[in-house]
Amino acid sequence: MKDGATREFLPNGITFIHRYNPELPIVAATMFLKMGSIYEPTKISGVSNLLQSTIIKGTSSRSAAEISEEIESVGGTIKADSTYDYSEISISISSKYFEKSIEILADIFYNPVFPQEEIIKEKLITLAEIKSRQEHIHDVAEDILLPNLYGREHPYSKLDIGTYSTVKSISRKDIITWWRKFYGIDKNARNIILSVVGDVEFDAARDVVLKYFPQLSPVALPALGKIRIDQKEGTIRVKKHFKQAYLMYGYPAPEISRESIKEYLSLKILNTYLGSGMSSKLFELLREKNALCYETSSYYPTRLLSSHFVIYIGLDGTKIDIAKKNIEDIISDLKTQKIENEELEKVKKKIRGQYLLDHQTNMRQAWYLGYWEILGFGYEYDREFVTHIYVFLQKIY
Amino acid sequence: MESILFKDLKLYKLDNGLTVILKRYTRLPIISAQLWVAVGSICETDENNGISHFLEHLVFKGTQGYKMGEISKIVEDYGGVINAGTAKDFTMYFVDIPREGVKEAINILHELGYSAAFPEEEVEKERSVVIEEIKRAEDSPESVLFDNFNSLLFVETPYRYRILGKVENISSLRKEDIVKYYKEWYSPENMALTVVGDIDFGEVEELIAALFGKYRPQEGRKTTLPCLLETLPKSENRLIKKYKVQHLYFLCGFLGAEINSKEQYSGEVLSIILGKGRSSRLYKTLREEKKLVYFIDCGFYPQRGNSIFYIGGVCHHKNFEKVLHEIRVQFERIKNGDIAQEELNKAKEIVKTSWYFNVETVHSQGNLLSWWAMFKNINELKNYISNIENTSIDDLKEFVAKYGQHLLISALQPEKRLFFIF
Repeated sequence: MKDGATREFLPNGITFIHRYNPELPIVAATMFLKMGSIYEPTKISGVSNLLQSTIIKGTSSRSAAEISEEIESVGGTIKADSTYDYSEISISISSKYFEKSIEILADIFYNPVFPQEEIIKEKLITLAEIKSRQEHIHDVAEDILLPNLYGREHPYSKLDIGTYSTVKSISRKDIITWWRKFYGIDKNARNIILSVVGDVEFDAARDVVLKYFPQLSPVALPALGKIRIDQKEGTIRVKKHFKQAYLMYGYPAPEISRESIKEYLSLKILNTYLGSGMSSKLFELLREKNALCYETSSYYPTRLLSSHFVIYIGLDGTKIDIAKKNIEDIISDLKTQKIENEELEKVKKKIRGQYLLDHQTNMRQAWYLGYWEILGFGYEYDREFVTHIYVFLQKIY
Repeated sequence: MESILFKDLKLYKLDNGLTVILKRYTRLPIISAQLWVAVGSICETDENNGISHFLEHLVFKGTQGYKMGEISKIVEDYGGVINAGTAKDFTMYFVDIPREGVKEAINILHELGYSAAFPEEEVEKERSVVIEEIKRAEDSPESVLFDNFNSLLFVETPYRYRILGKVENISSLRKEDIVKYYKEWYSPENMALTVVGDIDFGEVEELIAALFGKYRPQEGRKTTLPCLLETLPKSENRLIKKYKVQHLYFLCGFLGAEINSKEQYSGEVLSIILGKGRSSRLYKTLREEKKLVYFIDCGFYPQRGNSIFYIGGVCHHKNFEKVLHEIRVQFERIKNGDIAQEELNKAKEIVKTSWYFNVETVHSQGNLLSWWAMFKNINELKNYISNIENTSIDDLKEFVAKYGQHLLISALQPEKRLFFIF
């Protein structure tokens, strides 16, 4: 991908990252914040998500409708959301309206009013979303698996948008307290990152950001302690109303950190080997060779705390035993035999290519740069990640 | 601004009728190669419904030049992605890959399009994969709802067929049926090959001439289709079914202008005014002000026959009649010309900006160019923005008056009484 990304720690405390892509007259800006469900006490789980969905619903000088009208009338979009480890507000717009969009972003950041009726509405919609999980077999299987993998207290055992009872009980006061806690600068944590990619030059972009974000109030982020994992082993069978059956295996897996980077990279490689594309092991064996399913894959989410590795297959109920045998054979082979060098060589090319294909839009580029920064690896890791995979693999050979 | 898409663009036909679209775009060292075939479920019958999609699965089971499994390995070893999709109007195969893989990508598309081997035992095995795919769709509320809506929209034309087809057909189609269908439809004049990205024109043109130029139009090829235009309904119609859902899912709308009509642009603009973004009418009224829906969406979908104008959403089942009322009110307002000039300008601005977002990836450039070259023409695509610019309030009024008189409404409602109370 293109080089030429620059980072500057601005005097206001914001970590500013920029890449100049002048080919098209558009620009994407994503603000990342260290705020998410891993910071949340159990009884207000889901507060970050509610905060994000209501923060763009009104400021002291703009109504919710005015915010969207201003952005959309010039063909732009704005969205705010939150996940386990971080939250985002992102804007995509014609570059000639870049300044306007940063002015609106700052207004949202400094002056949200969190209208009570917007909170009620977004809670209703979040509750509906939680209930909708029961309509999709993959979600149902995952919601059974994760609490057993983590124990019910762990934030990764739950949805990042909260549980039915916590979302119901979160108040406007909880949201405002949460906003005060996270929408400011923690000098030690570098907790706010603004990543801008597109047809706006570095100096111009930087000046606009400083103009509208002159100063941020100081905050102190809660420390992320080790959260106890209460894992159960075994098999759980649950009968549900679907035509298909679903089989899901979950394993504890390392977080992303400097200390665990080797394990992290090796599991990313394993994930690609097992579950990515039509030449992956699971697809080859379970679908191509044995015609057991339409869908089978694996995933390994990148997380700041201990994560999980999942293998899944959607299939006919009568074929579960044979699928289990197949998957367990793959796993035991992995434990006892080395993956051939030639195979690993292919996996790393696959990772490089997919990474490149996923970096085509300004929005994705801005996202990746900020993502590696918020994970504590620095924006340069966007480029280094692939090299790292290469170097790492050479060491295993 | 359209010039970005038309810069460094070559469009020509081989002697055998194959449309070739080449577009050089070097922002990143990648390419998207796509083979589009004008065959889909609209080419099917009651007896073979599902065959286009089944065939799309089967061409991956080995060709004259590649063994089973080899194709995806080659592409993915370059770090590329290969996949295919079947629609009602077309089947498309694509390889998105770093530029080093461009020759392999073109060769692979050529093999998929002209020399699939259909090994007997693979045909047998793949039946159960496709049947599993059908079951998966039948477990998905979105997909069941779409099938129901489709059955309201299309009664006479082959658009009534479901793309995945019927389990009975998938179980009984023979290898000979597949081979015959492949010969009938995968013929050069019925296809377009598109390569977009960091390419060298000379190299790619030569390769295409050598690989694709050697074919003659297939004997026994099919080019004619039954009539694709439905009679517009004379009254409102509903299909409400119970399903294992937690909320009510609905999809309603009507058939719009046929593919070559200028009214297509009105449909596009109208869908933006009604449903695109947080400041659109339906989002504002139904989700934000009246709090009647959890989710709302609106779109205009052009096809080779009638286009589809749809509004979809999720709501509490008790609110459904109110939601429908509000939707009707919006159509009434449009019909009465109750549209502010700023509203119209905003919609046009959204279309213009979305052009830039559309050209950001080589894949979406390929899609756009291929579809227009196959089913309309690139010259009209060049005038796309000015056609949108020329859309007036009167055009929108007429569009709704002509097509939107009778809503067709489908919904899935929860089976049981719910214990949760909002």
